[in-house]
Amino acid sequence: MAVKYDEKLILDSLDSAVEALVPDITEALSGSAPKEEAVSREEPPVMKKAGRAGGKTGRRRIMAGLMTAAAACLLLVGGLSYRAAYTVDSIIGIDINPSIEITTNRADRVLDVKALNEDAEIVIGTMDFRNVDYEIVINAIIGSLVKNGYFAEATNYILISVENDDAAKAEQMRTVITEDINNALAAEQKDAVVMNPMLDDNNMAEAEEISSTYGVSKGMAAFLEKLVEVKPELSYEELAGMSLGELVDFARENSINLEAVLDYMEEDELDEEDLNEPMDRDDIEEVKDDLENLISGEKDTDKRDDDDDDDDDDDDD
Amino acid sequence: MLLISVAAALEESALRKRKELDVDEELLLKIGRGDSDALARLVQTAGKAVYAYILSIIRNPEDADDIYQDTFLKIQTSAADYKPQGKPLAWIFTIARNFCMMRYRQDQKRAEMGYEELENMPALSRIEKKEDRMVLEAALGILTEEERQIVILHAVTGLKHREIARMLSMPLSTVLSKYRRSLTKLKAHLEGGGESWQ
Repeated sequence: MAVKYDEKLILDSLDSAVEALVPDITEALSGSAPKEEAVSREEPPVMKKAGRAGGKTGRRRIMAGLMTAAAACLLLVGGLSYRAAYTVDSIIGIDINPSIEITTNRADRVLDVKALNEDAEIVIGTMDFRNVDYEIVINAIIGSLVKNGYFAEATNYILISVENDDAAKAEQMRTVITEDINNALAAEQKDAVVMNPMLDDNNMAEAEEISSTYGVSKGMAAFLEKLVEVKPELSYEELAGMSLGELVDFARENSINLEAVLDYMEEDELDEEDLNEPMDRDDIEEVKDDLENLISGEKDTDKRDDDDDDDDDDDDD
Repeated sequence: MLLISVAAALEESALRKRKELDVDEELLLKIGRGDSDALARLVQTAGKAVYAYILSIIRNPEDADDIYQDTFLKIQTSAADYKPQGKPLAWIFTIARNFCMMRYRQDQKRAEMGYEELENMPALSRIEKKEDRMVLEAALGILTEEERQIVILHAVTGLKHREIARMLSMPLSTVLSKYRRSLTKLKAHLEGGGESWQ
């Protein structure tokens, strides 16, 4: 069976190969040392022998010791609970460009909502989402996005990513969020193609770097990475400033097979449930149709306002 | 006992996620004062990264062995002149790179060694696992010098691309795109497609 050389295998092999090659130069270095200093070592502290505990004083000491241990246990358990409540369990990325990052604890309550760029700051405004269930927060954010004029195009795109050490939970949350977004938009008589990039250990580190450097969510970072992988001459600076819709248009104009990028992003996440999820499949079909229309030369200039036309002209230069 | 186990588990969990190379500048200062234990610790901490860097430039493991030893001998004798600037690894890499350039000037033919010559190199037989050897041969054979440096350093040191960019004096976006391109080239080559990328 042919070996599939993914990033992890390649990196692990390189690491292992170099490890095998590195020579031992200890002898060579010790032989040519200019001078050797006696390394002073600290003497270990002398321990006083503890006296034997016995009698009333001994029993009091034992009780005091047990109570201290019990108190320490309680503190630890309390500390762990406190820690669990404030420990990040999931990180949800929402990108249209605004880019927003939501962190939740294990109970799926929101710890923080962070605007990753200026447009997102306007969308979030002064809303305080701390300790609110994440589904309610998603709804509120979608509502604010609609109010701020997003999802106004004929075809809209939104990118959702979920990070969690528990892959199954990440997948489940992604499905729930996708459904919540579709329901929230339907209530506003809007719709969008929900895109889900794959985040895994292989690309997480790079996605984090791209995310923090260019002010986008890790999900968007993973998507940009895929575009650059297909077309290495693209620059992150250029891509990161574009909305998701503009990126999709850009991909078409540069003959990037969006289906391959989407398929790639979804491939490792597909399971029976996903395959049977009609909404995502329809969204993919919609994107394919748009792609075919553009390849055949149709360009929906009517659906863009004057600002978009000017931006397109700049992109073409 | 329970308290200790829980605390240890929490700490291990935090450590497991990161194996990034971190060279303590203090080691160089101690080496400058003649501390041989510090030199040994430096070799232990950074040796693999230094070797990887040298190999990514010189491509020939036999030459890399010599340059590796020369580099640490030079560190031993020059550490007294090291001025702390918060970039100990960059200083070490500069020494290594200079030795590589000297070797190139001495033997231009070795610098232009082709993929077939690399494959037949006896030193590579030190790599026991065939797959590891194939991947390294591919990296040394088909990638450009910058691509080799980026991919091999990332694989061996765990350094973030931002740090590799700083060390190699390249823009981050260049490092990221070269990294991606390198993986694409390697994947295509190793899976039998040859150089099918553009």
